[in-house]
Amino acid sequence: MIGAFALALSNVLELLFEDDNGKHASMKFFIDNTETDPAAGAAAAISTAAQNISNSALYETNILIVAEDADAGDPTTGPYDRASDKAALTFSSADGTPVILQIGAPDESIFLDAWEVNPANSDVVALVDAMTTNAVTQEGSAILGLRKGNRRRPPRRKGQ
Amino acid sequence: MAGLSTRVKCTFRGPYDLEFSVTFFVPPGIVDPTDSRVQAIVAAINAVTHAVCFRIELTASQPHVVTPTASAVYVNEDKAEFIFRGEGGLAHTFKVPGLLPSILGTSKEKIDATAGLPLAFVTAVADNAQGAGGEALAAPDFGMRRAARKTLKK
Repeated sequence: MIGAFALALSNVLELLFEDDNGKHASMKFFIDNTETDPAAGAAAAISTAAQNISNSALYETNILIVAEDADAGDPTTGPYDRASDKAALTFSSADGTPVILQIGAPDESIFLDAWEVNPANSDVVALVDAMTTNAVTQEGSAILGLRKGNRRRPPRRKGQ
Repeated sequence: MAGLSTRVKCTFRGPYDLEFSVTFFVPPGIVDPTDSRVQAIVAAINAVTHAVCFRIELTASQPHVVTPTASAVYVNEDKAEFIFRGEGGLAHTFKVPGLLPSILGTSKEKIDATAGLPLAFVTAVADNAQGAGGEALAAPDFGMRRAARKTLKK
């Protein structure tokens, strides 16, 4: 169950630099939480001024926007309830890029035989629908559907 | 040129206080963690795990096509350090990597932040940045060159 997510008081502006040797460096600032466009406003002003006093290349400007739920509820327990025990769901996409969700502490009810995800499980169907409707690949292509899903156990628990 | 997508990182807390994160991408116009499309995916993931999502972080990206200066005197290990003061005099330090040699004074150590490009930088930060709680930052009058390198072992 999820409660209400509240925005943090500040967003984080991140500037990424690369010098002529190929070494990377970064800078971080707190900015107002209404600043969400990395190409305008506070981000643009600080990025331009920082680049103007640096020989390195400012190759990317990021804004990190954070929200937290103080009333997220309590986790539950089960046979695969460790964070390192994963359900790996692989989705197909329009540009051919596989999209993989690795979900820790998976609910045992989504598996057919403790290893294979049941694609007909109602919660799995709902997750696939949410991903195909709302998510994209990193390059912005549509996600088409679930290709496969299986459980990945942590290395030290090979006997289970 | 805007990024092609917005990265969403959801942090979950499982039993035994162990945490993990799940990352996916949404269209670039989405910049609110409470957006219904982000919340729909988070709710669907919550339904298939024993853990609960307590933190959502969106990353909106703007790539730049730019080339670093070749054979520069100062590289990324060399920083222009400026110390701003927040509420109660708390220090907020910002270090610009690969500083331009032209902003240094005759000592090659001190940077005059009351004129030129250094003034423009400290003004941009004082006007647009803040402390984590939203407090204003006061710009310094000077900065210093700092070299972050490992000392040679004898």
